[in-house]
Amino acid sequence: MSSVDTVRPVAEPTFEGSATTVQPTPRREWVFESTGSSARDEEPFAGARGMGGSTEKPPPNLDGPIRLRAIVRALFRAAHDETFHDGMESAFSRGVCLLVETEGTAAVEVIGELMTESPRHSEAASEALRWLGWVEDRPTYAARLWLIEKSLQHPSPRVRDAAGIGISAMADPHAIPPLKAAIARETVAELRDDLKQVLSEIEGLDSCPT
Amino acid sequence: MPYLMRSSRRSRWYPEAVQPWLPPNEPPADCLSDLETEHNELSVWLIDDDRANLERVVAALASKRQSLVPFDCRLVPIGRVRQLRLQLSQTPGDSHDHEANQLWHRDLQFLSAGRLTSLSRCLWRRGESRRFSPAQVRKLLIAGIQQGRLNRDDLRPELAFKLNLD
Repeated sequence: MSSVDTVRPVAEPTFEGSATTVQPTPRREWVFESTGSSARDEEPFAGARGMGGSTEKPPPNLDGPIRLRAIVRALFRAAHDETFHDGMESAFSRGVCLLVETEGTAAVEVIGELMTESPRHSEAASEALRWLGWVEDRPTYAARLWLIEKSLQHPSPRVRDAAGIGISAMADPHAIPPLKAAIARETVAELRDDLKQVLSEIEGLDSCPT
Repeated sequence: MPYLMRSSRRSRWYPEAVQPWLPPNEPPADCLSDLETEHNELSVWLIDDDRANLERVVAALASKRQSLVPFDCRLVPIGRVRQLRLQLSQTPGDSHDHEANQLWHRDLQFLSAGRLTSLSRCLWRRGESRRFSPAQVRKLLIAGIQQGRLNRDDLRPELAFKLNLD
């Protein structure tokens, strides 16, 4: 049985999806809800699950980075129940973008931590990277670019491909050295070609007269 | 020989990414995420043997998206699919290019789970992946609009914004 998780505080703005809902409040309070639990849920805040519909346990007091980590973990867990389609938003991508916009650099850092935590997160990590490149949020720009560049070294080719797509979206010449390094060590031929294509496009932009 | 094309996520089909536990010539199960059926039918597109209509079909499909991202697809010679004895019917497509919808859209019909698995093997063993970069997709979309095959008003606002059409 899979769990369908909801991370939901109380106020606008609201972004709703089929499996996951993420809503921030002005005070950035977040509530966890879930319709069930599964064997793969092993985070230390398992008590946060099973709330929502049932009221078996009171909500835990989650503060600061620990609270943020639990939110991101719930997002990643819910992503297991989604199928992602290129170029189309998902409940997960909306949640990731909203978290970054509301929680800032700290959210990017926690997303980065979870991406490397388990191979199980590869699909969600890949989806997160694809959208992190598109987020229109100046304050987190450097952190997002750093995470995307770092993900070029991820063990999963799927995640490395998404990192290339994220870099393509950001089109930042600062990514050229890590991109060149990634091309040099890439073992998947198709991925290496795609990274070369991204590199040539960014170098082309970089050499354009302004 | 013409091809059948199915949009896909290229990284799900990397041959080098197979796991040691995977039997030889078997696609990873994640490939099935790209073969999502509806009413036991799978939407595919007929591509000319010289691939002259490939870019137009790519633009047609990309025009339905929300963002400007790479367009990945899997191409397989139609003869390979015919060997599976699957029912292939001409049906209207759902893209914003209405002529392309009529000319080149096909549905693989009456698909059982077993037949879909056979198709995934065929795509894995006999197919090839193609990627169009966001810059290429952008060019194709703009060309489609300029040549009247796509209507900019049909595009989602987020995508139209990324194309800088204003």
